[in-house]
Amino acid sequence: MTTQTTPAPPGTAGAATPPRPRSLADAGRWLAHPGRPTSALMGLALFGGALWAAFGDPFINLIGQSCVVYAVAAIGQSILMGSAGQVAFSGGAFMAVGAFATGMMAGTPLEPFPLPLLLSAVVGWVIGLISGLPGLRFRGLYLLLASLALQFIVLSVAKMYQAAYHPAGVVVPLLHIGSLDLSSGQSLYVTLLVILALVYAATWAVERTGIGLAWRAIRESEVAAAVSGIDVTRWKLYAFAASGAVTAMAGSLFAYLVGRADYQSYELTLSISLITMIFIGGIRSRLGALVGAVVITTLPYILQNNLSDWLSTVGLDADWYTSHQSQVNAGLFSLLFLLVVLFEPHGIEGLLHKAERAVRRVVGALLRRRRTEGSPA
Amino acid sequence: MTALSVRDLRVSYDGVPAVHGYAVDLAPGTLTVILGRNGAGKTSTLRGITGFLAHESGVSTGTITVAGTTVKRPSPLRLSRLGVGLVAERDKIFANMGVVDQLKLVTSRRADLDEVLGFFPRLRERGTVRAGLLSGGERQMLATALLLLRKPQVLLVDEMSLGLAPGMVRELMGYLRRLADERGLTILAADQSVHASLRVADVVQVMDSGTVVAAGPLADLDVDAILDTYLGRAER
Amino acid sequence: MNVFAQAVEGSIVTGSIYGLLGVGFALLFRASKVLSFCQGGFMLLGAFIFYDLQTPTGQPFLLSVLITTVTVGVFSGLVYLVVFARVAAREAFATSVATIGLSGVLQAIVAVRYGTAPLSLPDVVSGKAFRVLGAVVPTADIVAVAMTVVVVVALVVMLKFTPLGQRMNAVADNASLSEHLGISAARVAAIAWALAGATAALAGIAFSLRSSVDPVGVANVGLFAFPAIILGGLDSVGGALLGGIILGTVQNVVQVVFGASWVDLVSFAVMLGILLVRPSGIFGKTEVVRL
Repeated sequence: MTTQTTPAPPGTAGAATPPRPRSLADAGRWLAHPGRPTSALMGLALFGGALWAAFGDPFINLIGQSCVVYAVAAIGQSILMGSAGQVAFSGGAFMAVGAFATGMMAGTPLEPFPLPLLLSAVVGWVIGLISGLPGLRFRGLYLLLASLALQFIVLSVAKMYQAAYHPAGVVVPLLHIGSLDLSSGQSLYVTLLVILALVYAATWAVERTGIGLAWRAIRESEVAAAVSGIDVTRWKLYAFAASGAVTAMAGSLFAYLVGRADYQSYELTLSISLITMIFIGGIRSRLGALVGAVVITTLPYILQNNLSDWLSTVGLDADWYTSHQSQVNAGLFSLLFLLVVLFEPHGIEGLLHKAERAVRRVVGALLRRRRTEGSPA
Repeated sequence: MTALSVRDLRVSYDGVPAVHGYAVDLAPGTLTVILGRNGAGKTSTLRGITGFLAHESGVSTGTITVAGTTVKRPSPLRLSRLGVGLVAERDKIFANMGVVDQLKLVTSRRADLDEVLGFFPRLRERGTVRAGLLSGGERQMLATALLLLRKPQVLLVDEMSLGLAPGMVRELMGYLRRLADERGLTILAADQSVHASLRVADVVQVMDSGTVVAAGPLADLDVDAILDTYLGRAER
Repeated sequence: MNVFAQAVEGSIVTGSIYGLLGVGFALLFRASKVLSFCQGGFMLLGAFIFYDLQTPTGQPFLLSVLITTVTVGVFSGLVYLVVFARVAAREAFATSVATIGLSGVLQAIVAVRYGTAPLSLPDVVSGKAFRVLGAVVPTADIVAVAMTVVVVVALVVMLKFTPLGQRMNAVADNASLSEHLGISAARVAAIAWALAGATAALAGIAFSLRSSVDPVGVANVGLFAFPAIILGGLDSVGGALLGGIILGTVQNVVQVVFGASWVDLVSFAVMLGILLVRPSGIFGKTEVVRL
């Protein structure tokens, strides 16, 4: 996976991007560009993790599936947050939209995969577009409130629909393409991974075009963007629509994964988890969103398996943890969310960037010293 | 002892430097003016002295000494308690409060209120008006009055002539001169109105691109040369 | 029993609880420019501390109320000073988002300590009920409304007539100028947060007098108060109460006419509508829109 352009540090703004590497030396120079090592590291880690999950035991496989689905959702949210610079609490609502759209297709001519997935994207696009209309006037806090309202409104509708027609949740048919059963295990995992790769590639490609530039300009300063002739309204609406479409697709995939669409899975806590993923990985890039998704998805399992042991080694009583596991996990998540948003909004990517800069300084100083000392006589 | 000393003040925003090592010694009761074009770094300098940059993601380093007391990490609150006040460039009044009400916010002593209103009679006329409705010149007077009620030793005034007619600018400059002469206030003002400033200043500093390029008592400076080189002939 | 009168009574009581939450919210929003999503969390804390003081043996009512509100208020003020203050001065928006995390932490703490099952208070105030204009009014409801009225009146008086109130108005108007004039914006904001925590705790107490309390349900009330807050205007103390009563009325009407499952939908649709049409609410100042 190639990288998303990360913002260049001051001084390098306007420096020409090095051409694609053609030899090993070229590759080295290409990698040395600020930000690239971090992205390369993150990309490699994700790639390695993806492979491990593909060939690991069924449990790892399952976690991998969840990671991939949330990764798609995280990309969807990051289009809005990282590109247009907005924070929204409606992630859960859009996933619900996709999930329920998928479920409602069961038994209709539109049931065969991937039609429900595409339909979810379309519905997500439309609703995203509509939700973007108030977003045109709003920024910041007002958008936050509007998205909160949207979250509750959509969830209410879903809840009422479910209560009326499918009390146990809307059943979603098993994932299969023709006679090829992809509904579980490795085959499902690979299918999801393929979809994620397509979504990532599409987003990456769009970012490279004028649309991506427009989004970045709008994020930096709407006024300056408008003055430069960017049709702020149109691109902002597209950001909302695209975000809605991708997040809805993630919801559809989640429904396939779980087998049903149940409104309880898509409440405000999910929206907050999605925001946490973006902040933890790094709001600036899609790669950051992926890393964040993996971290947040795997964290409960890691804690579940290891926290009691860690507490015991430190000498603390682990009983209260095991008996209240879900609440403590939820609390720890909230704490993590709080700390990341307040103190390190660039998350893991930001930390890696800092480390990279520190390494650069050290290496740079060493090289300079060798040069000035000259070769030993 | 100087009323205010600044050593090696450096200000940067997001890593981009705006002020490259500013220094000054203000003698008590003098009026010093920093002249310079837009973007020369004047406002950043004054904000750096009071530590007013936190709100704008700016970073400043340097040593500020107020009447012998050294402050390593200035903040508006700390400097206010040491007797240094800043009349800011924007947002300098409480827009939603009446004129006299906000003056009363700073002090409840009748004598002080009367005195400051006596100095700025126009404010007394506009007593109950919401400050947001005042004219530019009146706002500047109110902002100065608010700070005067704190009985400062040093007054920093940032770009007070912005958007004001020349007559009003001269009037306000006259007030500054009176404050220095009648009350012994030490004043450091950053401004772009060269003509009006030169009429009242004791000491002049000329700033360009974050550095002081010429400084000294007014009498010692070749004003014409400065005007030509740094401030443009049109300023005459 | 007059159905209409009873509905009005219910609206006033629900409205009072929303009003208590909203009034504190308006205070802290004005003083710190932070949109706090954790009033629900403080409400939760208040409800459960009060519960602790009332079971197994009941402490005197007023004393319990005092202890609860002071504890939560002090906690809220300290939390602001220690966790949020520095960031809030630069990034009010990020701080607003972060308050959701605080709410989650408080919820988790309460859930671990008390469990997630609903708890009911023993009869704290007399179980007597009065007939007022055709409606049955339990003592608990009178207490809730009385607390709200006292609090709102006290706050309005404080803001208008006391030096602290004037300092709060100054900081709300222009925080940096206040600092240049020797008023510590951080301290004023911390006091506002403390007051907001206290009113949220009172809301929690009022709530617990009428229904059983569970961590999720009570914390959610904090979110459901947002339509009321938006209605009244984010920065209006008096507006928050009025917004609360209007919302309470709307909710009651919807519940009676369409059924309980429609209440959330309509409440937030109203909120969205207000945001679109008149974002500053009924009493807020229009400058607020430029957030």
